[in-house]
Amino acid sequence: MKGEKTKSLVFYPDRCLGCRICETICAVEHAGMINPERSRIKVIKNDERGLDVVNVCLQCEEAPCVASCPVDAISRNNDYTINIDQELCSLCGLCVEACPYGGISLDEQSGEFIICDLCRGNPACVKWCPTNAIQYTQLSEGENKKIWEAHLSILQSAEKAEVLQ
Amino acid sequence: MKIEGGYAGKILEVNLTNGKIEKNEMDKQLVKDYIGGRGFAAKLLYDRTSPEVDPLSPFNPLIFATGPLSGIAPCSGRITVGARSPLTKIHGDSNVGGEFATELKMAGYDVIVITGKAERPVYIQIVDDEVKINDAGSLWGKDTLETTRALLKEFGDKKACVACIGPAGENLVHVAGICVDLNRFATEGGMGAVMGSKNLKAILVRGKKGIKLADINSWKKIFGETLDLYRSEPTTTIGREIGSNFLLRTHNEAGALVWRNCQFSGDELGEITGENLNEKYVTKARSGCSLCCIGCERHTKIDRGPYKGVEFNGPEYYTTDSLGPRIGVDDLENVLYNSELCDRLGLDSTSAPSIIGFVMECYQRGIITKEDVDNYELDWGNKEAVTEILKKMAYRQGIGDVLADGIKAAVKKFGPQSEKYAMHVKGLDIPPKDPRAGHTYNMRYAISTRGADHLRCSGVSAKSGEFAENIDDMPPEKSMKMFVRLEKYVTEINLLNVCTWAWSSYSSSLEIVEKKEKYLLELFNAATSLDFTQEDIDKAVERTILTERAENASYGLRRRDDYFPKRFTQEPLPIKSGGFHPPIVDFEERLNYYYKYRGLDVDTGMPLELKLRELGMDKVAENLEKLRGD
Repeated sequence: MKGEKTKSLVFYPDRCLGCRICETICAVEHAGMINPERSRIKVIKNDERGLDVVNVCLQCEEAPCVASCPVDAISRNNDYTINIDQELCSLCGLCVEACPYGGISLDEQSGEFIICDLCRGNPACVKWCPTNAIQYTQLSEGENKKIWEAHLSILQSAEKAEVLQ
Repeated sequence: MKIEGGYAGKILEVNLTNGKIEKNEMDKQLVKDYIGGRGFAAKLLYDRTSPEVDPLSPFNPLIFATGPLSGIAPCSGRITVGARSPLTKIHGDSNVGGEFATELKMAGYDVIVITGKAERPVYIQIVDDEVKINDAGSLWGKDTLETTRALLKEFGDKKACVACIGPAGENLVHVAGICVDLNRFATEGGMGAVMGSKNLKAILVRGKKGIKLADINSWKKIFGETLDLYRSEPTTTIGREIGSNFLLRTHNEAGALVWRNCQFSGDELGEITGENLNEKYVTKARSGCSLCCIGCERHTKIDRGPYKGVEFNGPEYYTTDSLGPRIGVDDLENVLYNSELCDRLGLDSTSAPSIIGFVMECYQRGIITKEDVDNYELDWGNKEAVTEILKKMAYRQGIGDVLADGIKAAVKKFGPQSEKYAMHVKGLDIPPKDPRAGHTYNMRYAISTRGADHLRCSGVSAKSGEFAENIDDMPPEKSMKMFVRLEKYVTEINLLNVCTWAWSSYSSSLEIVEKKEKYLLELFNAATSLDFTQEDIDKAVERTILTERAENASYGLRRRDDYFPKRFTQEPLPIKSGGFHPPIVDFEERLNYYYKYRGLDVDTGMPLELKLRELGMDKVAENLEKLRGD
């Protein structure tokens, strides 16, 4: 049995400005440069409707990414974060499709799939967010997912409406 | 001199006449002498324009210049757009936010220089190393929203950034802007018309390379400290809670807000306030620009009534005043409607209504009748007529065709009697803060190299709309010295290309300005490893301003062109709530001090030879020597 989940990233969409400071610091911490492409947290913006949403791994208790991996490259760490074994990974991308929160992405420069590691318990995005829109706190998984799903669905319906236009 | 980060390292040159695309290494001397942004634009324009080149000819270069801190410092999504201005016929540059600057750097370019003219409508597509000139036939005629939407849909990756023009730019309207990320605009000086004259509908950019930082640890430390400073500054909170429109009330209370083409100030604002806008129509505060920790952009929406369906990011307070009190309109929903209309048409939402304000005063004074203006009863506040005229300007129909050429063209049309009501300097309209409400501070409108402009000197506190050390209370010599110091700081902001509002305007004291200035230098050195001193930056600032002055001198500009309309130096400004602001009677004295501290010749306003040589600008000095005989 791996360690217990105590805290998780909680997102408050009303406070999010869409400034991409979280993406920027995440890429700097993990890839040593400013590049949202290499960030493990993703800001999704819809300028037409004025929406700003963040996508990141929520360390689900029942993690669909782990289940989806055909080569068992995805596992859980002791601190409850998800680990991708780059040696085993076959780059099939099934985990990206399996994750409902857009938590896994491909870093095209390193050729690796990347996922939030919570900066070993001290998430830089939380520290740097100018409006405290992302917090690292204790909240039941059900409650947290409710928050994330609510604003993801708002974003998705806005995107759909645009497609119809 | 090795640049290890901050800059992308390349200048992209696109010639639309022959389709040639070049990627040149960044010129290190250019970096040293001019730093970036407005400095790059100044130097490139000085070298590549001449009095013989019409602003709308293929030979006028259109420059997009990021700065070394674009996408790197907090509040830094800024890019400078430069060209000889079709509106003022002099040096033109305009600064716009959004995420375009950052995206361009991540694609690997600091600057784009566009020359020539395409045979048919085109757009430029930049995806990292791949730069293409694509057909834009199906986009021509579309408004800015339709254009942005169509380009992003076709490209298929919504993270791309689009800069485009609307019908106003296509029709070479001299107050047409360039629209970035839907609702951000490079407006001053009609840069949209320059783009239109090149048959260039849009630029789409997608960058995945990222931006390198020379010293990550130092960058992290200073970036973090800067964020802390912004967190503790009360001005940041006002910016986030109300946005720039908080200034409507504070400026009006100070008797500074422009009403009816600068005839008075301080009348009842009614519903035209930032507070009201926020309460009823704003759905969200947003970062319009990269790494913005303030979020002054407002997502605005009207849910019911005659203007139902209006939804966009904006307006900022200059637009709100220009479409409101400046032309006598007291209906906020109409202001929002016309603001979105200007954005979609690609029309400058401050210059265009300001010109209408001038026409309305001419109508009020009986200088023109309705027969002169397509039979519109141009009484103050005739909002339906305003909407019609804005459209006619964008499509150059009827009276709109005259007004589309700017305020000086309108004066020509309406005759010499109208001239005293034309509130402009060098052909660019006076911003919505009356110069009489700050005799020192607003000298910025007079001395600006691009025409009446509020962004060439800044440093106001949010509370009073004035700088905390009230420079207007000081005697002219001392106050103009402070003015030049603040002008220097704003120019530095323009070279590094960070947000003037965040870095300068939202500062509550000189101490904060000094702290921010220090952070900027440290961020620059951390990003680039160039190890510049403050003196290096200060010299680049001087070079930039003097280069712009030298360019203007080549077009024939002299001291007389730095003058205000007489209304500001001869008539007091009545404040409706009581009292008045006196006219700027010591204007000449102030101008003399400005010239003295800026290294300009008191008689001509041209840069002094000694100063130019001291800055290593010998070629400019020689060129000016030839002009001095004229």
